[in-house]
Order: sequence, then structure tokens, then C-alpha cells
Amino acid sequence: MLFAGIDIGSSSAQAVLFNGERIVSWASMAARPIPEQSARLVLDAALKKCSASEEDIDFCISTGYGREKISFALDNVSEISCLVKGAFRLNPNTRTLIDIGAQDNKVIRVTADGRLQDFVMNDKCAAGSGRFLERIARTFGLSISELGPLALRADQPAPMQNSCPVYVAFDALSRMAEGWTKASIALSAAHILAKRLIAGSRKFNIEQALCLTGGVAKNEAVVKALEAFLGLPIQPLPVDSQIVGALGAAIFAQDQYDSAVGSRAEINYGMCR
Amino acid sequence: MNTQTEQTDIRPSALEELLTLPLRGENPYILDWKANGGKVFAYVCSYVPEEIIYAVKGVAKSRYLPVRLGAAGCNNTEDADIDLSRCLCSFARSTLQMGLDGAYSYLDGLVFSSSCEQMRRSFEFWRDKRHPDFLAMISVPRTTDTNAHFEWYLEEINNVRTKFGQKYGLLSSKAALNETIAIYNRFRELMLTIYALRLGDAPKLTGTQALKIAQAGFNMPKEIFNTKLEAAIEEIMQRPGITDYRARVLLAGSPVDDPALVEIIEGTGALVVTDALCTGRKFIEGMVDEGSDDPVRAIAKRYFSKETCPRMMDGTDSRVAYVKRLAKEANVDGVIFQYITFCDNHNIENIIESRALEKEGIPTLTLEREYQPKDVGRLRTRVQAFMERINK
Repeated sequence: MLFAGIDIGSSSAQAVLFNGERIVSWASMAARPIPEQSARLVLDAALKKCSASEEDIDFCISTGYGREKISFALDNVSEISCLVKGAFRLNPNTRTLIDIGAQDNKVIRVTADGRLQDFVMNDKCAAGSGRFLERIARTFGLSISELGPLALRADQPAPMQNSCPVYVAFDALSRMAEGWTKASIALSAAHILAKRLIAGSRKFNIEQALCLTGGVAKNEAVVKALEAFLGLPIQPLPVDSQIVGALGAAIFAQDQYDSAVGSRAEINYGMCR
Repeated sequence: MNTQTEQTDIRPSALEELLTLPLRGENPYILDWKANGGKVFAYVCSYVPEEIIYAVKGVAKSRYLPVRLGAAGCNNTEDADIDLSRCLCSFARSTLQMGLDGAYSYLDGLVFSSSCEQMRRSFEFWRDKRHPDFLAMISVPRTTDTNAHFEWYLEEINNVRTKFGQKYGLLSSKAALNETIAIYNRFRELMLTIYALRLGDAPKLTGTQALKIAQAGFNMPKEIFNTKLEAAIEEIMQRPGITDYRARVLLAGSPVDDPALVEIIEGTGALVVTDALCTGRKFIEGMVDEGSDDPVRAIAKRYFSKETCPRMMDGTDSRVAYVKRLAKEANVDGVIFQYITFCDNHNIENIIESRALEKEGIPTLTLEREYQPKDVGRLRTRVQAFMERINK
């Protein structure tokens, strides 16, 4: 059995191939302008890694902002539900999930049996999202992955307030003119992002275990800031933080395949055990 | 004239006509009204009583038609943004833009109200840039619980009537007012029937269709609309109910007069079965006392005592109870609140009301949107996730 989950985000695309028990292969790449194109490329990359072909896939589900545009996906599920599904599979103690993507931030509550309980997302504006960090990295001429290690070298954060991805470049340049280091600005950015996220999540208590997904989860300064401001540890993930949504989609693919095949599959499973 | 039967056969049914009524300058009823010597006045908010406009019986054939100001289909606001900053409500900007574009050239005038600051300030640009033939403003009090405030509101309404009289030399007679009240009460009764037809397990029409009917109602003489709606209700009753929906939702928040938003919501499998909108349920609930000796007072009373808008300083508890009552009546699975970006009143009200509902176990979702929702994907993701949440 091979189930595919494809997550087309606004900045990156992920594919996970799941055999019902473990991740067989996965791939992640920068998103192309056309969701279908991203999906095709990232799925091919994942298939190539495990020497499988498209015919081997039993069921495929798409998620992410481009989820409705993937012709070869049999169904689509929102990224919120997919994150819950994926994170709960990786750690059944997960009760709160923070996902920081390029465009959207989400704080999601998970029930004890692994269902979506409630969620808050940022509104229209992408302030304090991955795009915000991207802009700072670009101002410094760095790649996004260099921003976290840079921030950890700072003694103190630069005095910055603005979480708007548009204005932050100007803010950063002004602070540098005042003599603040790039590291202190990168640290400040991590703090601004964490504070904004926590403010947005006040709707509900953040219960443990807490896990962090999305590209920004790779920024260690953000992880540390969130842990410090929340006073809670963030559980480490056994997989790349960016593929949790695609994993969830692949598990949904398995669920849908099972219910489509119906009772026959259940009997087969019973016999295997 | 032998072909008349054939012609009757190909004419759209009343329901079809209401669902596809063209807006503004293409609206045949508005064009007819103008061609017959009538005048058309737009109003901006449900604190402007339509009856006081409709009841004006002009000389010869000049009758007065109130239509609700809307800007469905407005594609850009670049000219309006020069006057109203982009940090203001996109409804105020869209309506002003269409005004500047000449999209309302059939209008003889407008009646504004002070209900919301952003619309109130847009009044000044209408006045200075469009110079409508007639322009009036109703100052609406911010509390509804004292008699003094009611008298203030009544006086404001009478001021507008006087202004009509000064401008056109016409005032509505008591008989005309009472006749209008009867027409409008019938309108409300029929619209409530539309709501009733959406209550059962198999609602007879979608939220999008219900909103299209309401939109037609805002843009037609109520007398004709009532006749069409009676026929449409007959048709709707014959239809099979809708059963292939994922969840029943109530829609609340900022005014919604454009089906686009409801279409996005219903595109995810949700069915909007009721609402607490000032362009919906709040607009039609509550009858005006008929046969009153002082019909203007009776009209004012209805508008002043209906479920309030969050721009009022009081009434929060009542509005929360109202949403709860409607949610229960329509047996909804969840409530979708939405507010137009920079609509302070509804943004804050949404937070208060959604907290109260969640506390009682009613799931809620709050959406921020533009008047003309262009970021469809962002809205769909949130609504779809909400469906997945309440579907269990």
C-alpha cells in the first residue's frame, strides 16, 4: 500500500509517501507559481527517492492553499485538519499545535482522540509570519535558514516593534544605522513573531504537549522565544517540521482508501494481525 | 397578439427572475420606475426607514422608490481611495467609487445615517463630488433605551420628510403612510416565510439564493416584489429540499448584500440556513403598528426597537441572546462571524458574541474580509477547516 499526501503552500511544496505505518519517502521544494506544477515536481521527487512510480500510489490527497488545483489528487482536506492528523500520529500526546508558514499562522487545539477541536489563524495580514522573517533575511542578504543561528549569537534584541513584512526592512535598516547588530535584529524579529503568535492564540489555553510545525519551526531563535514566553517546552518532532501537513494528508488518503474499500479491508487487516 | 401564450411560456418564473435580477442601471424595475416619471433614492443603512420615502405620493406620476445602496461587483476603489484612505471600510469605499464612476446615475438622491462613522464621512464626498439632487442625513442616537432618544430619532425622521417637502413640495399623507406600512409589513411577512422554508432538515433554498432574493427586494418596488415573492414561494414549496450539505450555519457580522461571500462559504459544503445580519433577518423582523393615528411615529418605533446594530452603546446582551435564539431555531452546527476589514463595530462585536456562543458549546468561526471578497482561497481554507472541525 502506498498513500500520497501533497501540501502546496504559498512558499514551499511538500510530498509524503506513507505505507500505512511509516513514511517511505518525502520531498520538499520551493513552490512554483502553478500549484499543479509544484505538486507534480514534488511528488516525482518523492517517488524517485524510493524508486516508486505514480502507479504504485493507492490514494492521494492534497492540502495547503493550492489543494483544490491538483488534478491527480482524489480529494482535498484543509491544512488545519492535516496538521492535526499528522502531528497526532507523530505524537499522540499533542494537544496544541502551532504552525508558522510563509503566509499563515495557526494555533490549533487537538482533542485527546486526535481530532481538530478549534483553531485560530491570523487574519488577512501576514504580519509575524514566515514572510516577515524572509524579508529580514533578504535585507541582510542571507538565506532564511541562516537567520536562526544568527539570532542566537545576539546578547540582546534590538528595540523593534513592527511585525509587518513590508515595513520591517525599513525598521531593520534604521536600527542598523543606530548601531544595532544584525544578530540583535534577527533576535528581535524572533521575539516579535513569537509575541504576536501568542497574542493571537489567547482565545484558548495552550495545553501540553505542544508541538511546532511549518518552515519557521526550523528557526531555533523562534522556538526558544516561544518556549520562554509561554513557559512551556515544545516537543521535538521526529520528522522535518515542514512535512507534517503532507503526512496528515497521506494518512487521510489511507483513511479514505480504507473506507472506500470498506469492510473487506477490515477483514484483511484482522487476518494479518 | 396571438403569440402571447408563447411569450408567457418562455418568460422566466418569478423565482428565476428574483434570483437573477440585474442590479443598478440594468435593473428593469428601476428603469421602468424612472421611465414612468418616478424618482429613486438610495439609503445606506437599516436605520433609514424605507417607508417614509416610499409613502411620498408625488404630483402626476412621480412616485418615490427607496433602494438600498450596494456595490456588488465593484472591482476597484482607486478613485474613492483618494478621499477615503485604504485604512477605511471597503464598503464605504466601494459605494463611493461606484458613485464617482456614475454607476448610480439613475439616483435622484441619497439618505445617509450616522450609524457608522465611515459611511457618515463618505457622505461629504458624495455631497462635494457628486452633487446629488437630494441629500439628507439621519442622526441616529447611540442608545435606544430612553424616550428622549426615541423622540430625537423621530424628529430626525420628520426632518428628512420635511426636507423632501421643501425640495419637491410633497409630503406623504397619513393614508399613504398607512398604505405603505401595510405593503411593508406584507413584505416582512413574506421574507420571514423564506426564512421558515430554510429551517427544516431539508431546507428549500440555499443561503446564496435567499440572499439573492433579499437583494432583489432591496432593488424593487415592494408592491411588485411582494407579488413576485408570493409566486416564488409557491415555486419553492414544490422543490425538493436540500439534503447534501455538510453543516448548517448561521451567518452574522458586517452587512452582506453581495452573494459572493455566501457562495464562497457554501462552496465548502456549508449551508447558510439563517443569519443575524442587518441586511437579512434584522432588516425584516418586527412589524410596524398598522392603522396608527401617527404612522410616522409607528414606523420610527419599529426601526428603533428592532434588534440593534453593534454601533449602539447598549444592547450587547440582547444581541447575543438574539444570535443564540436564531441558532437554536435553525438548529445550526456552527456560527460564522465575519467583518469587513476596519469595521470596528462588527470586529469587536464578533469577538464578544463568539466568546459567548463558544461558552455554550456552539462552534464559531470569525472571518476578516473585504466588502468584495477577492482572496477566495484564504476564506475557503478557513471555512473548510471550520467544516472539518464541526463535522466531527
